[in-house]
Amino acid sequence: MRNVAAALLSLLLLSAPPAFADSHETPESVIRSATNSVVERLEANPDLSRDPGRLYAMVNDVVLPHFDFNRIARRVLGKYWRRASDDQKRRFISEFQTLLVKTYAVAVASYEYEGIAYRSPRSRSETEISVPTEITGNGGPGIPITYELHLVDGSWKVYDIVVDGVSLSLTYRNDFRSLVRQRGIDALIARLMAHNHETR
Amino acid sequence: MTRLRAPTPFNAGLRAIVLCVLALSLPGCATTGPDHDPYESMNRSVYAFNKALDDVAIRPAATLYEAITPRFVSQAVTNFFGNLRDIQSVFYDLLQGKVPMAFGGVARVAVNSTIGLAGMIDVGSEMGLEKRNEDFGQTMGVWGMDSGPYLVLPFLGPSSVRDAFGKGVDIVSDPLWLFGLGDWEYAAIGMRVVDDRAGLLRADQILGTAAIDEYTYVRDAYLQRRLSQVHDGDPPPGADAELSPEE
Repeated sequence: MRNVAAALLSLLLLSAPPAFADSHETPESVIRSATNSVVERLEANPDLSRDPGRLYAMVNDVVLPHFDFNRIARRVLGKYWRRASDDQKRRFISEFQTLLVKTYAVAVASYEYEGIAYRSPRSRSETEISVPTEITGNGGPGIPITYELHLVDGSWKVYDIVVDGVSLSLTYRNDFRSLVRQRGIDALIARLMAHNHETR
Repeated sequence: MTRLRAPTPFNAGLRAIVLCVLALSLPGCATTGPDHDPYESMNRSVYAFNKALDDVAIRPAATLYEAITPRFVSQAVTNFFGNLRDIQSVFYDLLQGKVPMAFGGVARVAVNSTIGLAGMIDVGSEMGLEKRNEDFGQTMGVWGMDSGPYLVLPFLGPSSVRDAFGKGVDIVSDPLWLFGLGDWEYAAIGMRVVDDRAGLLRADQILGTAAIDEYTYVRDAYLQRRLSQVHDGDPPPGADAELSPEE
């Protein structure tokens, strides 16, 4: 009985106004709504920025659904990603995701900003796009932040964030690959785990 | 008469400088790091020296400065030095053949130096005159010069062979020298170091969270950022491929 209700409910949802459908989500609106939601929660709860654990959990909740960590991991590890076992892939993603989301959370909480300006997105192809934004600060020059997104199963997912010309993920590429080359992927995962534990 | 001197241990900085000179005169003697960082072991010791200096002197000074200075004062100081740098940017934009940007820069400096009270208020940005952070290293990059190997300079921090030379030109052409105020110049340079460092205090925490190996993180971020600056924030796709070649 409950299953039937759930099925009916999901049918209702599927026939809901198109505004809720994935296909009407633009890359910019994905970034806009995720960013707004992080900013709103920070404003509603200012002591979040002094509580790293809760801050991280909040940012994680908001941004995680919009990231494609598989693609991020593949870009960072290259051939070592293809050679890794499913279990290694899963463990690597889990630790790397923690690291990136934590970094993003610390960055978001530490900058005083007045607003975010959205520049016009640049398509790289049908399924890849850059959304350039600029965090306008307190009288100082703004910080350009570009989000790289691609289309996966009908929704736009972030696969990189470039802050003032520096890619949040590619900056790890040399370091990670040389560690994997010398000591294997399990050593890399162990190191990430230790680091994440330290910065908790 | 020869005097026998006990071998005093070089301090890290002196050793780093000597190594630096040696490495530059003997390229290929220390090729241990990845392609863009053949002097990695030397760079790491200079990095450690800079870090120690930062720990004991520069960061504490910047922290103190930020704590005791009202926000509008420190902003005015940042803007004042920024205006001097804008003057240099005008010349570098010209050297890069970016004439419209140079004109924008002239307007910016003119507005900020007058209405903006000798540069202390950044009126130009409010008027939409964008701040251009050009330097001679970038200019050489625009001319087609590769950054060359990564270098960590004592006191000055992350650089490259190209950018180290560029930095020399930036220092010689610094408008601060025009003031000719003797002691005041040195005070101003000290002030600028503290002001620059204060602007980076927040980045420390981010770096601490993000970096697994701080040295390689800073290096790879530096090289990416410079590449992006040479292309005015829009490097051609794949331009960073050589920074970390697909294996």
